[in-house]
Order: sequence, then structure tokens, then C-alpha cells
Amino acid sequence: MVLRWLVALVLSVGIARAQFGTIVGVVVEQSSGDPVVGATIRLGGLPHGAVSRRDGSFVLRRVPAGNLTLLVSAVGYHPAEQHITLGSGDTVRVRIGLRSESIASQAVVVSAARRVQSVQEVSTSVSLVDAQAIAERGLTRLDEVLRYVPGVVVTGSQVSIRGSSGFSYGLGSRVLLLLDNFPVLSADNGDMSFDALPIADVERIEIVKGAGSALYGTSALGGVINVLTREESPSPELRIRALGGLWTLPRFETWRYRSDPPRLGAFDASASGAFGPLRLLAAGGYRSDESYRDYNDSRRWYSFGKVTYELSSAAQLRLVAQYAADDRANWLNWRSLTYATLPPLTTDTTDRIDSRKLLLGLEQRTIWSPALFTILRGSIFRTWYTNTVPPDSSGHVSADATQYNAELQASYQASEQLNVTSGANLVLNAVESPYTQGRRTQAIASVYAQAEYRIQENLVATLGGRLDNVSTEPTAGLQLSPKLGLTYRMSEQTSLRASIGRAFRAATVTERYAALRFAGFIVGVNPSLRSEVGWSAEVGVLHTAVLGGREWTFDAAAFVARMDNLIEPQFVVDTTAEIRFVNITRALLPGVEIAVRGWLWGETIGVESGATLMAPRDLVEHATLRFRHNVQWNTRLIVAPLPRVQLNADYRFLSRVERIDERIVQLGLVPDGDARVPIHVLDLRLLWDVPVAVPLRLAFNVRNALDYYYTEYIGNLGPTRQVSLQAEWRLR
Amino acid sequence: MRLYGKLLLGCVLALLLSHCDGGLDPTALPPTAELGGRLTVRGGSESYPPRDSILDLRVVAFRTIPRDSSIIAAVLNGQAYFTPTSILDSTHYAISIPFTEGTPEPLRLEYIAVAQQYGPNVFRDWRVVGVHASDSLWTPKAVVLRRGERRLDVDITIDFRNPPPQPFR
Repeated sequence: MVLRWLVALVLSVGIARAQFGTIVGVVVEQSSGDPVVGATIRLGGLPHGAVSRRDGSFVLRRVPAGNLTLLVSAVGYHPAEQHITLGSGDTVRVRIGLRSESIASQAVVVSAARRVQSVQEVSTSVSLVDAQAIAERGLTRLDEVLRYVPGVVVTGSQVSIRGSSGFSYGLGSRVLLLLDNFPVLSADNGDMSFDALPIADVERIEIVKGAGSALYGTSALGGVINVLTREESPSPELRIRALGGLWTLPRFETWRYRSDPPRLGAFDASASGAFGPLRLLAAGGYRSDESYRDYNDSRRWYSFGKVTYELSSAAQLRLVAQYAADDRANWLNWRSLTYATLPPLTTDTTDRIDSRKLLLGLEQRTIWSPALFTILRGSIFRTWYTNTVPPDSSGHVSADATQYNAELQASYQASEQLNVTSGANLVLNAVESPYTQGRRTQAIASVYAQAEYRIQENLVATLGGRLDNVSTEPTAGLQLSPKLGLTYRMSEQTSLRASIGRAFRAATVTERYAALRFAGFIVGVNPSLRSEVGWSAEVGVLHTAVLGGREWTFDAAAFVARMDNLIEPQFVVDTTAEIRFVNITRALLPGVEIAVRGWLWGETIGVESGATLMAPRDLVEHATLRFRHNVQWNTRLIVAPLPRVQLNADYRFLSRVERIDERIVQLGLVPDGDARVPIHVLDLRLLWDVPVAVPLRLAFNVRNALDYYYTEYIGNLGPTRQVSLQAEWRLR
Repeated sequence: MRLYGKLLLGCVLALLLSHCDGGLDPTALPPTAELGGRLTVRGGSESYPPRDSILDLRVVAFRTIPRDSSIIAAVLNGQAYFTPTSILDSTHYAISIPFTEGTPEPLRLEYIAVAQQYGPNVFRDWRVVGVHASDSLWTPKAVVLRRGERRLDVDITIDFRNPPPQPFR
């Protein structure tokens, strides 16, 4: 069998030589004809990609002959799609014009089906955040970015998509996080490390909503977030970004923990270039924040590197490396509402957390034939932390956790109608935590396959599934996660989508084995913890219309998710009495989501707005699910009064959390823990492209301009008003 | 188009203006009262039992004199309040008492004690090792609190060797 496969592979490679062609092109600004540098050019369904040079030119070699779709995007431009026919051995020349655009349009995604797709072909809801939106808002951490995405709620270090998560101090994320397709959830807690990501060098962030386990396995219960860094520039490029700012003093005297405004600053630099078949991107940064709260200051460093080597015109090797260090105070909750910026009196304020993260990822992409390409991926993601309490003291904590990930993915175009993506994945979590979990391992082996079948020209069905075997499950650890999706393109302007899928989250090593004392209580182990499982379904419509001479995009979805065996900490009394993580809750999460974007009055005012309405229910307690917001509304207005000047306003609304964990308040663990209000946050900014020789953009930002006070999670005052000035240079 | 645009902008501004009241306000009505004081261990640190028998040590303020040792249940039922963390090796303590719906005002706390968890059952294995008392015979001294009030003179003496009479049946 293996021999036959190899023979077929060799034959297909041999045959393929005569079936490739070359695309040579140039990307220009539509109205002026000026070259667009740094545009990303992709081929729909294929791994090919290129970035336009300083003169706007690009070359795509060894492209399979046939009818192809070129998908072109660049920061600040409306994406373009161009259909071409490439003959065997031919060279096709194309000229692609991009239209200047200040509002990001959703065009191309790679995370929904593990291959390049136009957003109209995706059967689930996807939100995109591009580099421009991140840079304009002066954002330096992933959690800050995600707060502006419809249907996404950030609670401390936890991300919830459409109500998938409540609040559990970040433990056991129900959303999978990827950096350039490599998983970056910690091996022990299964939590996200927001500061470990090179946000200044992000090209875009894809947020795939709903059950994602059919392709991605554990943790994709609520969805998948894929942070994609920018392609290395083919010509030398240097980017520098510097930010300085302060937190204004709060209105209330008891909240002023110091007399002068706390300061913050950030500096990022990245260099990119190409040397023959080698392309490089190196970046680094530092961020210091004195914080609006006492004993909450932090200093963060990161470095990021990406090296791509073209082994041949059909094979590419890519190394991704990321290292981040974080020195921060150990803030948990406030002393009380009266002293909301101070920690509890019993806090040891000399204790600090030293936390490090390292990602090493290697990826090889090979085009075997016009119909077959493979991606071989391996990564190590290590997180380790310790506090400054001596190891022989009771308050000492430390852990060293490493995730080893190996994966082979193949995409096969069986016919004009049928595309199959399949793969195998092995994950090993190794945790060494002498004071809490001890030495633990968790292995997850998986196979998956997904077929996309074009039933008619405008109707595509997706059927897939993934089988995961989790070594730490108490009984049979097999998890089968099927998925069915449909997309129907009614017209060039309108596409309908529908999907249903199952997802799961294996209990993390910490949830299963952690034994520690927390706030005076004993947290005990529970090796019999089972995986959380869930089904989610949605129907949606994406419509593009021209109103007032400008393009408007409308997206609406109705969704429902049912989740079982949800893991929560509970008091358990049997042979002993302690807090344990147990499978306790079932939940139903129905809702609707609407997003709209476009321009009013020519190009005077741009609007992006998204709302999510939900009715999350706890099916065990027959009550509203804890720690969820029923209404979320994000709106962004862009006013361009002058050619080089732009005014932006972002408004975020979250309805009051209806229900929290009353026990935390009753036990006095968090004084005034039930203090909560709706959230209204207004951010204002002024952007100015300074007309100097070196391209310089200045951004004056006022975040939480109304200085509105709220809690994002129990006993934690949300960020107060922050004023900052950011300068960004791009030297090419 | 102009009309729709103006309507949309009007809606945004109206919503902003109508809902933004400033948010949380610690001065509006103090939602809590504070109870605190000094802790004295009779016999000093040498009188402590073996540390592995002190699984937890808390100050607990009861609305009525407790008749069983289920301190956690009393706290969960809103009949008692305790320090958020262990007070072992502490010289002072503080309890923040929320005036939630159903909390009487003024709030009378009949019995304020130091409780030691000596066994693994967090619900039952508790004994009293100190009481806020009016005399040396451990006669309990009640404290009355109102919203926003701070009483930081509620001192307690702890005696591990000769603990006060246990109120539990």
C-alpha cells in the first residue's frame, strides 16, 4: 500500500512538471497607477503566495495549470480578486489595481478550512482584524485587539467566543489560539499568553466562530483564533513604532494610589528582507506599564523571527521563533470597591511573577503535483514561570510546561468539484510543577479529513471529521468531531452559509492534577475529569450592496451551541472536603449576530458596527449562565476631514453580567465582588500622515475617553482613561 | 442616504449620552462595612499546636451564636462572615461585610471568634480558639455595624492550649 502510494507520488511529480506555469504581475493603486508595495498575493485553494516588491511586481512560479483565482490584499486597500487561465508551461502577465480603503474588507481566510478561501466560501462565521486596525488603535496585546471583535468577549486572560467561556482565571481556554498556524495554548493550564504574540508584526487575525474541533481538535469548543504575522518583505524594510502615554488620575480620591499619573511606553522594531531564496523577518519590542492599579505594573520583552527558505520552486521551509519574557506584579483582585485600585491588605506586595514563553516552529510546504500539496509542521511551545517567594515557603509557585506538536496535512484536488484536506496530528503536553501538579504528561493523537464538494457552480458542501485519542481520559479517550457545512452563492453580492459541528475540550493537566491552597482553601486533584463536549450550529448571510456609490457589507448569523460536561471548580464533600474541578454544568447558548460596514456621504464617514445578542442558559440550575453578557455592540466611526488626517471613534457596549458565582461573594473571597455595571467604553483617536521624507504616521489616542468605570471580571476594575501618542515609521 | 446616515449617528450619540453615567462609584453608597482588630496569641508562638494541625485559621463573625461547626455553610447562607484568607501568623485582621439584599441594618454580630480547621473536612472540622470577649471568662461581646462603618477595634485573644467554651452542640 505504502509502495503504491510512493509510486503514485513519484509519477504525479513527474507528470506534474509539464503541468505548471508562471504568473508574473504588478500590483498598482487603481486611480493613480502607483505601485503598491507589500501587497499579499495568494492563489485560492493553493499554498502559493508572494509579496509585491517596491515596484509592485511579483512572481509566482510552479503554479498548477488551469483556471485560477488570484486573491490580492494590502493594508489600506480594498482586496481584489482576479480569475486567470494558466496553460502548461505558459507565463501569464497580470496587472492588478487596488482601490484605497480605510475600512478593512473581509476577503481571504486560511483558518476556516486550513487552506486559502474567499470568505464567501466559508460555511461558518469569520471575523478579521487587519494590521491597519491594530496599528491605528495603538494596540500592543492580543486581548486589546480582540475586544473590538463582534461576538468576542475578553475577561481578564480569558477569551470567549459567543459565550463559550465565563470566568475561570484563564484556566482551560475554550478557544484555540494559533500563531502562524502553530498552537500556542500553554501545556499545563491550557491558557492564552497574550503578551507572547508579536502584535506589531501581525498581518491579520482570523477569528473562526463556532465548533472548530473537526479540523483543530481539543480546545476549539467556542472557536479558533489564528494570529498570522506578515510575510517577509522581498526588499529591505524597517519598521519602528514608539508609544508613550499615561493613565489619567481617577475621579475618586480613594482610587488614587499615587499623586502623579502612571506612565506606559512601548517600543517595537522589525526588519525584513530577502537574500536570494532566503527571506527574513526579525522583530523585537519592549513594553512597560505602571498601570492604573497599584501592584499591577509590568515589563514585557519579546523577540520574533521568521525565516523562509525556498528549497525549490515547489517546496518551502519556514522557521518561526518567538520568545517573550514578562516581569509583573501578582494582582488577583481589589481590596474593595472603595479601594478598587489597591490589592487586599494581606497581599505580599514584594511577590512578583517571572514568566517566559518560547515557540519554535518549523513548517515545510511541498507542492507534489497540481492536485496535491502537503504541509509538514512541528513545534515546541514552552511556558515557564516562577514567583519570587522562596521555594521552601508555602506561597511559592512555579511550573515548566512544554507542548510538542507534530502534524502532517495534505490537500488533494481530486477533481474540479472535490477538494479533500486531511491530516494526522500528535500532541504531547509535558508538565513539571513540583509544588502543584508534579510531573505529568498528556498525549493526544488525531486524524482528520474534510471534503469540500461543489455540488453546483454556486453550491458547496463541506463534510469532515476528526478523531482524537486523549491519553488522560478516565475511560475510552476517543473523541469524534464531525462537521457539515453548506455555502450557497445566490449572486455575486449574496452568499448563504449553514454549518453544524461537534467540538470538545480535553481537561487540562492543571484542572486534572493541580493540588494547591488557594485563598485558604484546598484545591484537590480529580483524575476522573472528562472532556467538555458541545455541538454548535449556525445559519448566516453575507451581502454586499452599493449604496450611495459606495460598497456596503452586511453579515448576519443566527447560532446555537449546546455544551455538556462543562468543567467548573466546586466544593466536593466525600472522603475529604475540598475544591475540585468537576464536570458539572450543561449550557445552551442561542443568539444572533449582525455586522455592517461601509461609507456614508461619499468618503466622509466610515462605519463598522457589529452586535451580538445572546440568551445563555445553565441547563442544570435552570438559570442564566454565569459570567456572560447578553448584549455586545461594537461600533467604529471613521471621519476623514482632510486628505492626511483621520478621526476615529470606537464605542464598545456590553450589557451587565446578569449572574456571577455568588459563593465568591458570600465567602468574602472578593469584597464587593457583586459590584458590576454595563460597560460603555469610547476610544477616540486622531491620525496624521506627516508629509516628511520618511513615511511617518502619528496617532493620538484617548482610550476610555469617558473615564467610565466598570468591572471586566469579579473584583477587577477595568482599564481607566489612557492617553497616548504613537509614532510609526516605515523605511523601505 | 443622508437621512439614514444622520439617523444612525443620532442613535449612536443618543445611546452614548443616555447610558454613560460614569459607571462604578465607590462614594454613592458604601456597600460594605469593615470589621477588624488586633490578634493576640496567649502564650506566644510557642503555644501553637503542630502546624500540620492548623489547616486553616480564620476570624468568623456570626449573626447569632453558632450551634454547630459548619462554619462554611453559615457563611454561604449569609449568617456569618469570615476573613478572606488564613490569619495564621497575622497580628491584625479585617473583614469586609457586604450589605446585600436581605442584610439587616444595623447588623448585629453576636459572636466573633477565631476558628481553627483541624481536620480535612472543611465543612465540619472546626473549633473555636479565640473569642471577642467582654471579660476573661470568654463572655462573647456583640458588635453592631452600619453601612460604610469601620470598626477596627474588635480585638481577639487566641488561646490554643485553653480554648474558649465551644458553642457547638
